[in-house]
Amino acid sequence: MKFKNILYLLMAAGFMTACGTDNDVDSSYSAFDTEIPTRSAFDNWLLENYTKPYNINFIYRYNDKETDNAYNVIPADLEKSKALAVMIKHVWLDAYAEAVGESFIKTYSPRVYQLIGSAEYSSGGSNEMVLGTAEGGLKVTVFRVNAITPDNPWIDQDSYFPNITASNPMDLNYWFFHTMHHEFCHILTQQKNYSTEFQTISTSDYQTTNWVNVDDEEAPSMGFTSGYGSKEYNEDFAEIYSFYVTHTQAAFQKLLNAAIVETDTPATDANGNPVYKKDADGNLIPQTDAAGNIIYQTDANGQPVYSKVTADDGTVTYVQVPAYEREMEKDYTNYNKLVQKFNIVYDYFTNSWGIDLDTLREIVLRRSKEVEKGIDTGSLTIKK
Amino acid sequence: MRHIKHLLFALATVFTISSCVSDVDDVFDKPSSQRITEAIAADKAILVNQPNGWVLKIYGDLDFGGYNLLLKFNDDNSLKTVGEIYYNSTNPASYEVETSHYKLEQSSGVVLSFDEYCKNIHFFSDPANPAGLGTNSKGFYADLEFRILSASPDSIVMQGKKHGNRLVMVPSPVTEENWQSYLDKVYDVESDMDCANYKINVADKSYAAKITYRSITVTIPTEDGNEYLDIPYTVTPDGYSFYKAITLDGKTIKGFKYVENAMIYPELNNSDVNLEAVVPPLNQQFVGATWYPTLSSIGAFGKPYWNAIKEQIMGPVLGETLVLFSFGKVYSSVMSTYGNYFGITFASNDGSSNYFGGMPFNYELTGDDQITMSYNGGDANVGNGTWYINNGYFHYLMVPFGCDTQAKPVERTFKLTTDNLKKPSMIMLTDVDNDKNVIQMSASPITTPFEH
Repeated sequence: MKFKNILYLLMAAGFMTACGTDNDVDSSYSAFDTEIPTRSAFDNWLLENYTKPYNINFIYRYNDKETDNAYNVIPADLEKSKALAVMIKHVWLDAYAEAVGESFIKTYSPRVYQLIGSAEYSSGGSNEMVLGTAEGGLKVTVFRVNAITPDNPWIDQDSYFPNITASNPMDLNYWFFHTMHHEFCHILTQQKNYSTEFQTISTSDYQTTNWVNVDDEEAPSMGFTSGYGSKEYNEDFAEIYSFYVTHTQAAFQKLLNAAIVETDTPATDANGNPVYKKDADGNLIPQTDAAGNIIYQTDANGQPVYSKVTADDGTVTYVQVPAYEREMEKDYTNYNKLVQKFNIVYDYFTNSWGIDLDTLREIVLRRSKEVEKGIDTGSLTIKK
Repeated sequence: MRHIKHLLFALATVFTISSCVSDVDDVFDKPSSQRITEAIAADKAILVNQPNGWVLKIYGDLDFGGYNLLLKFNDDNSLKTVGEIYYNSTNPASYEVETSHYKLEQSSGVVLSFDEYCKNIHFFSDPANPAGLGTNSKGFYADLEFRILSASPDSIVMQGKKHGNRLVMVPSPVTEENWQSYLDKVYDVESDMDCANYKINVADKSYAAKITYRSITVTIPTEDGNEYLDIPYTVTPDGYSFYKAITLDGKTIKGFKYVENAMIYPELNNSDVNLEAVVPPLNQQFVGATWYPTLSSIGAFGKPYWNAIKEQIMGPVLGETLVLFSFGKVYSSVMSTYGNYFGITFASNDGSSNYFGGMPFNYELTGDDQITMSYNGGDANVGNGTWYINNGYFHYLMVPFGCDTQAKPVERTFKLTTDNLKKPSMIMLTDVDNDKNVIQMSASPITTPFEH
């Protein structure tokens, strides 16, 4: 038995001492690059404004390892990167610092920001674009940087769906600020869960991958703030949050109104009488046919209905009575769902994070307005 | 149990014996990190130490062929570029010299990365191509990062990191100040070699070929129908240079040499292989295009009639200016209204608007360069054609072409000549029965024909 133990010991000793007699390590060479990189003025600005205060690595040059290999993308334009760096700090980082406090944003801010020149287009031919991604709370990637106009940024806080036209190609509020808040919301909800009740409200309405077919304009009538929100409940949650903090109360109200769906059933009042639509002056609105001709009322026998009109001089004439536009029954189902979901979002931020969304929104909107003057990419400041 | 112990001992012995080998020769003399650092430095030195910069023929989706990029790499990792796409030969002021940034890094060997946006370069890798090439998500489908496979002062061979195309960079033959002339030459060569149809002749055989973007599609007849061979290429100041050599009838073909104003372009090495431009006969080209005569280009026979309209009718009678007079295929912008016909299209301007009209002609082609034609007679006139004959004597303008002073058709036969059969900039009609009736017409539009 002892003999065996000795053998084992010997073996162990043999393993330990057998190798590693090389002594010719070149200590003059280090595998780590210790040289201080040459920094441009912009690099130094980033160091002072992102890295030192917030421990954020702001990547504006293409870095293959940080991009998603499944997509083809291109680098961001340098001047536009500068403008966006100034804007993101002003309307995003500093907004949270102002509303919630510096330590909050230092703790939860993504550590890596990456700018990409183009969008990520899915290859399915659906023309689906990825606007931004957040990976496990660590990194936010912003796409389409090359489409912005630093001199004259266009920020639309008043439309409830993106109002993209040839002359207004790039609404920063929609493409960037909204996206940044959306991604940040994911980060926060990954830290602290929100009520599972949220998932149950629109359960049957989620479209999964079919969300691409939901226009932002029609999304409210399905109970969502945007087409993307109809994908699944996490995106829905983040979309409600990011919509709310980047839009005016008027825009939010427009969104809610758009969630009220008019049915085909004519409405009646408490006594069962028809309710008619009225124009701005309080007058009834005659129905017209496709050609624009007025449609007149008929009685039970199909005969025209006349009304007697007495003029000031006593002259009496009979005029045919038009059929008037009727109010229709309104369906508040999706309006109610939207309000219910919004309340959960609102309460989540109040209770879990101590963030008052109305205060945050006020700050975000003000700061967004401030960058509308444009960015001087030379001095890396907002234009006066 | 005993057996297992024995086995264990035996194993242990084997390990103990084999585990120690006194010394293993290193395959490499330096650690990997040091080797890659040195490789990067060596490649960078080659890139930077090329005084004229480099020409990169960039390819993506091979259907589009290749394009020239001129690149100057600087030691501070800045990069100067010009490229064909944003180069406008008719307006050299818009010649886009861009400064950008590159990096060399370790990633499956040394990788050259164009990591800062520069439209000359990233036109080719933008997923939504600015010129609409390819589908969104792919675009031109080139890479923006390249593994350097080999580097020497004469050439750098690289492979696209994502899509894998093998690209070659060679030193620019001209200095940085003359990059523009390189692109000018490329533009001229391409316009001169451009033709609707080609043949590739290999010894005594010939194959029909067509060019789309920068890819030659060769039709090869086989027993089971046609096969097609696609040859992507780049245009250089010397002609067409293929992405890679192809073999046709046992011949290796690498490209075609440019010859000024020629119809036949020889292969680089094989004297019995060439690319031949296939041009339709001149009279067919004449009836298929729109031509523009002017007062000064009408011969001695027709000039008095034209002068009469200019001096006695346009101003004095009509108070208008003739702003368009074309012959041949109907003037393109009125084709949708008047339909496609052969003959005259004109426009007269009264100071506020243009009045268009047209007089179709009948024609018959003989041989390769003769045409017999005459005015249709009036019933087929379009727009304000008949009005201007009745009120402005416009049939006088038609006399040299095939009409008399009473607006009755006259058949005339012309012989056609041109300056460049492949791409005529002008065409000359000579009446075979009347050598005073000569009409020269330009291929590019001329407004106010009475003033030229």
